[in-house]
Amino acid sequence: MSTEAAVKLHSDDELVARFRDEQDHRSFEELVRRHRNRVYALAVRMVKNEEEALEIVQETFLSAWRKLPEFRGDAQFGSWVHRIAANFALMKLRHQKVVNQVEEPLETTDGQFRPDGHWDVFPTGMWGRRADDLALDGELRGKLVAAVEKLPEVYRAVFMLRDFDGLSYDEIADTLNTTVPAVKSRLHRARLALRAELSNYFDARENA
Amino acid sequence: MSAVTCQHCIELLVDYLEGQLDPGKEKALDEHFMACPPCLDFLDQYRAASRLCRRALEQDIPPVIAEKLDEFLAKNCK
Repeated sequence: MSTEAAVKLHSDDELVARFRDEQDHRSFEELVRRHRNRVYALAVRMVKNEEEALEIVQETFLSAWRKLPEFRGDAQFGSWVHRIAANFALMKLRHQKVVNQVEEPLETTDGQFRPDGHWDVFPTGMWGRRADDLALDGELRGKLVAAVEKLPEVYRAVFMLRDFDGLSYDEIADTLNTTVPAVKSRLHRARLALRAELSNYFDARENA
Repeated sequence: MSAVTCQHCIELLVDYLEGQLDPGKEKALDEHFMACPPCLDFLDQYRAASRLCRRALEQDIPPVIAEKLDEFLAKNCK
């Protein structure tokens, strides 16, 4: 088996150790190959621009290259590198002054409840039960991506880091320099806004 | 119908889905969802919205971007 083929059989932890202890560049290249798709997807949805997403991906892996010798495996390599990418994306957004730390209002479920806490307007539609069987055609995929991109940055960042990247609440709070309850609150409102957006879409599609 | 209101159930969804509610509260929500079809529909939609978006956001890095990344790393990671 070639060295190139053999390196693909190693776990991320093993690749990190080989790079750190033996300066094995092929191990680092394999880590980049494994994680570049998700890092790029995170970056491009955060900044909504391909060229800037490329800069983020480049800076992320360059930073990982420089810091990896000190990486001690307290976190998974994937989580670690995604946090680096999120930080670069946030720096870019802050540089553009588009990150507004004041939480903007979002269309969610507010106003749908009566004062006694029961539904004023019942949620409708069966699409929630069929979601796993739905084929993502171009129209639906476009709608979903647009719904995420429409979220204000503070909500979109939390949604991407939690529901797309699977980071822990502590990791997200640390990355965004906020608290775990604030992360959960933003995540909830982001999900509510996405549900509301998709509900409108599926209602219109079913009634067309 | 249980004592938990619909609004209360919806407000607790993040912790409910993570299994982070205390057992008594979790049981109260379980019972509410079993007895309240609108809340159950809402719960399905709430979960589905997140899962659908995650699927839609998965994408491979475009070849031209991957090529530029390789060039950048080859030049800078020495």
